[in-house]
Amino acid sequence: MDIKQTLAQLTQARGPSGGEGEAAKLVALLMQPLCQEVTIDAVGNVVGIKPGTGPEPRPKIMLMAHLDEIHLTVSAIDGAFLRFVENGYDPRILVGAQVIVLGREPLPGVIGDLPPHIMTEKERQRMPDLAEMVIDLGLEAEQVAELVRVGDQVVLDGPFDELLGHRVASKALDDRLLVATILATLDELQRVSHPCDVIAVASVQEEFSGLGATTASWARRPDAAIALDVTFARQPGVREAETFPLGSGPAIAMGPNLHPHITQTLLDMAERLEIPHEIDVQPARTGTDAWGIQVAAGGIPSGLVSIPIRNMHTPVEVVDVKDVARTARLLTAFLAQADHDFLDSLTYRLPDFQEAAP
Amino acid sequence: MSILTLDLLKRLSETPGGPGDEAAVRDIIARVVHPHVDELSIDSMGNLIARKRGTGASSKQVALAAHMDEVAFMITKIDNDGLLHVAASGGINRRTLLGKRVQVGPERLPGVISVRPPHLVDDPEEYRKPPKLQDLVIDIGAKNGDEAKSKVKRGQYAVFRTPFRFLGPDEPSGDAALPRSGRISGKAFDDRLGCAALIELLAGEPFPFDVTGVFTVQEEIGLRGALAAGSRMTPDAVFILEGTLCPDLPGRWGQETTPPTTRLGHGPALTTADRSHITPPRLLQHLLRTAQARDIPYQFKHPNVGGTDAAGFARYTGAPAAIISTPARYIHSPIAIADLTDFWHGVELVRAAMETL
Repeated sequence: MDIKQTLAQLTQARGPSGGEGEAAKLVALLMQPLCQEVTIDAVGNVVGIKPGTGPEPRPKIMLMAHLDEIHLTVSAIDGAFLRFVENGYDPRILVGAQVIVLGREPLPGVIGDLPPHIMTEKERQRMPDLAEMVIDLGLEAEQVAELVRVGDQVVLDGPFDELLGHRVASKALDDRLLVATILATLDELQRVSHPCDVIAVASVQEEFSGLGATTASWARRPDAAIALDVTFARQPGVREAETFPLGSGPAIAMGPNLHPHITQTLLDMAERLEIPHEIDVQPARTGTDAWGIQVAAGGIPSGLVSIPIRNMHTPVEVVDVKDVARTARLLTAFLAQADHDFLDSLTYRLPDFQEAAP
Repeated sequence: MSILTLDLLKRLSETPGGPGDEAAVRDIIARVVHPHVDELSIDSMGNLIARKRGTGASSKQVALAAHMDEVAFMITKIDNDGLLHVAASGGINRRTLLGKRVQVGPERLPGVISVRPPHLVDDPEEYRKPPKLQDLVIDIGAKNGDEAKSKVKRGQYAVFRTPFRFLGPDEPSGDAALPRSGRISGKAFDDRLGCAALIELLAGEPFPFDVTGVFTVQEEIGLRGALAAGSRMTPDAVFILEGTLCPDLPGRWGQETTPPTTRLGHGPALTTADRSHITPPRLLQHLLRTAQARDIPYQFKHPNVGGTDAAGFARYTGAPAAIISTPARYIHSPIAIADLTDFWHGVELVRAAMETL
């Protein structure tokens, strides 16, 4: 699998939360040759099943990365211009940004700014707030009225850029990067026998409510799951304790959202295979699909593996794609050992009441 | 028959040309105008000067000018993490920089302007503040300082990297003649639109008099090219072809907007006076009469805003200079929007005004 090419395809697809259709179709297409069965469920999750070897019932392990990307929503039509609301964006990156309004047809647009020539000194020293920003489609008011309505979603636009070495910049690396990682894992699994059934899910609405994670978990009832997401790479202005060097390998999360034995297994596996990796300390809410999975369908032991990116939630997220192959290798090894004994090791046990308490 | 195509406009817009670094733009223009002019030269500043002989019907001398440069960054430092630090060359709108794409150096290496994720911003007050230039870094994907230094040198330029686009429902093919209407988006419309207009005027039929077309350098840092070129010529009239600001936006939601400097789609903008130049009334009058006689729409640019090469050409010789601009929203940022109707009306107005001079 050509990871850069797959990633270019995946990130260019448009998939705002709740409007993942275009991205879902693409993922289903790419998953099809790697799975026995691929479906798009009622909420829009793409679910691929790759059965394991060995007699039934087999353990069911779910891998999940989210399909959706952050977006804007048209809140009013103001003549030829569109007013909008955001969720998840730093408003500063919107000024001067290019967008695609998903109206009756996809429409390229610009969120422009006053030219500096006519700004007052006060204006120069502060950012415009959202109430001052508009989307300009370069169309006349009548055309806009015909093509756009309130509630239409808007995604940021931008090409897939190959930077130096293995680094790329793109929109929607959060979380198509990890969707690509799932595809790379399924690809490796074609050549590796695995005792468990693999349930590969590209989930919807992670950036909104986490709906895809809870519904897919409830419907598929996996015995264990690993959520895959992006995390923060080191860059100017961030704290070292919360971030990882770019290209430092998968970050394996540790904390109450994750099952300690899954975390430990992933860490041991990375050590054994000499895969560069980091420990991601997560004291409470992880802000990922793992948060929803863990408590769905009566509770599902979960793990979380992340790849660090820079500039998260911007159209220029940067990643070192070497981390995709590393993460896929780690997940493949994890799935290759995920048998009934492994599931057994995840169960919490009562004390042996016959023995005296220590 | 026009010489302009969407493809040519795309190349003019997308090619980097910071102040003092206009060679790539100049090269494109020189190749395009070469078959249509009688003499082509480059002066010591880097201005491209094209002479086109007239029919001989008039002994007047007319100059046309447009600037090739655009607002840009220069690389001031390459740090140990391989990130590039910058200074501004020209008046870049700082509010529009975070998370944007740039191209660096002569190899046009793709890079992005770094911005820390909102999740890691502690103080929401930070969202209110435009970034300081000294805090900006460009990320070209280098693993460390050594890798970055093997690709980029201090003093090289970075400009925005914005694909040129035809907006609106029906995109014509790139090699067809430039459409007469429709809107376009891209970078450096200030002043590659002027360059395109000047190319079109030079490529047409000869005028009654000799014409000198000057594609100037370094307008954005103080009209440097125009000053040098203007000090060597004594034309009877100078027409400056510009892309000018167009803040015809609605105001804050629910509030009145300030009167815009120009409006998109309302015709080429004529300058009565800007911050550095007062248009001689007789030349302005001639433009107005021509527009009215030919039924060409026009608008007046709000006075005392901005400055152009007109002041440079007038500085030494006092040559009468007028400014005809295509309004472009959001200039001095990564992207602008202009209306091709305005562009073509501008070309038509200048051509008509020259024919009746």
